[in-house]
Amino acid sequence: MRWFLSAILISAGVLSAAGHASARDKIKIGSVDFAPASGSSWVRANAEGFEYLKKHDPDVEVTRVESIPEGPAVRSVIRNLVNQGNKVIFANGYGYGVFVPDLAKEFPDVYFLVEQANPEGPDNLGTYYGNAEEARYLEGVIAGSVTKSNIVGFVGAFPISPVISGVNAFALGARSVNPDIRILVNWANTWYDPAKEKESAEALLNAGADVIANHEDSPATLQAAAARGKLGMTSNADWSSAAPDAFLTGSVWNWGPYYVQVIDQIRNGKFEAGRFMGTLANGVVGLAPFGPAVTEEAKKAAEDAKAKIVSGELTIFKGPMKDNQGKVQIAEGQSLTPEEASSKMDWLVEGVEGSAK
Amino acid sequence: MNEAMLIGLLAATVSAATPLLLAGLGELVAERSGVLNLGLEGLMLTGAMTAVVVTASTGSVLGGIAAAVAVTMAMGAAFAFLTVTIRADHIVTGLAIVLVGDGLSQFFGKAFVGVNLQDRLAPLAIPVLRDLPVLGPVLFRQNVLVYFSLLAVPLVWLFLYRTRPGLALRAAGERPSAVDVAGWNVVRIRYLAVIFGAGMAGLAGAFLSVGYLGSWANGMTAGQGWIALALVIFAAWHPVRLLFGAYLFGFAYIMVFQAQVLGGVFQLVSVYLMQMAPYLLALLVLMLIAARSRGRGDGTPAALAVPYVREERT
Repeated sequence: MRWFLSAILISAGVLSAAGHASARDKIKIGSVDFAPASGSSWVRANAEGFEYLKKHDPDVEVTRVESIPEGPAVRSVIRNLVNQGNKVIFANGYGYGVFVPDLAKEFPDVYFLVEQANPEGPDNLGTYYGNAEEARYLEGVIAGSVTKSNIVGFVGAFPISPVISGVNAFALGARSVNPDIRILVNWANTWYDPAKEKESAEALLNAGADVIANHEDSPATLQAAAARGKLGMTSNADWSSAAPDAFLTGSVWNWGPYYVQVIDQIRNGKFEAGRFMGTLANGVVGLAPFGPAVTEEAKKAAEDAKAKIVSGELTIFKGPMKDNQGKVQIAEGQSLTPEEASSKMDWLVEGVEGSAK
Repeated sequence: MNEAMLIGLLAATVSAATPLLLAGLGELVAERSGVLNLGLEGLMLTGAMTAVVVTASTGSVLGGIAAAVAVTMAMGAAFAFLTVTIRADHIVTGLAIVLVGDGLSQFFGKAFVGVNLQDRLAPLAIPVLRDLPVLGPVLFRQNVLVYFSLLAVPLVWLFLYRTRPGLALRAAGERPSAVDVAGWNVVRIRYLAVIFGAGMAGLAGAFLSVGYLGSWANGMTAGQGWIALALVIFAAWHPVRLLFGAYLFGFAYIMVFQAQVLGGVFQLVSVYLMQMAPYLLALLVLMLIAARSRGRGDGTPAALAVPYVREERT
């Protein structure tokens, strides 16, 4: 069924591409996602990025295909997109990373960009991700400011480094404004399963948490918190519509300006292979507009922290830092780069209750 | 663990057990009549999707639930036609129902992925009983499908063991030729049992989508249809034991999430291992049942998945 839909989407792209002409050559872009935009906030953020691109650069033609599994099948989908004349391919899934470098060698005239892959590869391959920990830290500052029970919960997808580093950044942010706060983590064992995400949130709420943050793709944890009169935060996109009163904020991605920049480079023959890292400073990483429950004091604390991160005054993972077993993980005078944190971290920072195993 | 956590744990167990109990009871009746319907997972998905689509389009939750039951009953009738009338293989046909249900639900539900239903099945607190300590919030502030699932257990038991049609249904699963001789219509009994079972699976799916979560997600039943099938065997085809099994499994499933906030010894166990616990528990109980029932049969209906051909000696 997914194949059928993809085929329709692809052919729709081909038909709409016919018969257009303009002064500047149109650049044809193909984008591949693992889920429908309606069901995944990560995919939605990418889709919104392309809308931004189309608005700011009318001479592009974007064909998006969704629900392509992060497995070998993506190769034939991307080959189809290339055969239809797409000159730039965005593969918006971590799991595509192992397949795209070979495709980049197969089609040297096509530019490939893939989420969070190893940047080693041919000159027509670039990779992009963002330092989500910066937004997580600010979320923690807000959670630590608004909690009344002094217990906040975090629903994580899996105990793996890119999620663990976010939990730790969240905890450090929360403790920076509220040293006595308890941070409980609960792994739902899924990126996207609203039922499991809800169970994790329920467990945290039962344990007394009054703010639930998440690193998940659905708003289920926010809805679970709202149903109990508690507060929540979401990931990857603005989910305030799911529970407007309970929504505090959430990390968001603004990929549009990055897409504009990449297409501009390609058009001018100045494409740079390698790794692009979104940050608060370059605007790719950010927070959704604050909900009604965010106090003035919390806003001020978050803005202060943001200013310090943007200016470079604040490094999130800076020693001395202990894990929640009391062991020193980052020595005095040392610190972890965002790449190191999101690829190597396998311990939870002091103050977090839970297991990283 | 304080009282709030205990109540939360038990109330979540009830929610987790309800779809298993609904789908399991339906399957139990179908299997008792001699038809093995492996398609529960597909039927639950279809029911879950239909309930969301109809509820979102009409604003009526009860309409959504009724539509879910009607659509899955129609699928049940198709399954009965294939297995009872033209005597197709039960296992292959059942697997086909799983795949068809999965595909259809993704196709028709595509526009509703991630949509939050404004209307969903609200809890219905039962006066007096809702104020009981612990039991009140756990059992008597649930929605109407939870109460229905609990009432259905004694009703199915009464029907199977205390009525003549129930006797005929059980006999159809053991020795259909005898039922035929006694003047009952085996084909009709099996059709009705399968259609009932499919409708119950649809109801289980509707509980998940409009009764519990308030949204539709692709593949949201996540294997619960298969668990319900296993629970029927676990229960040795007896409705009261099915109730026990569904609640035991629901408890183990919920513990995966709850244990993470209990601290202590649970923090030493990887969550990857913890999430195997419900399945290990199910295996363990099946082993115990197999060991205990050696030589006495395990309660499997003798004519399960055996097509009935009239005037043929069996």
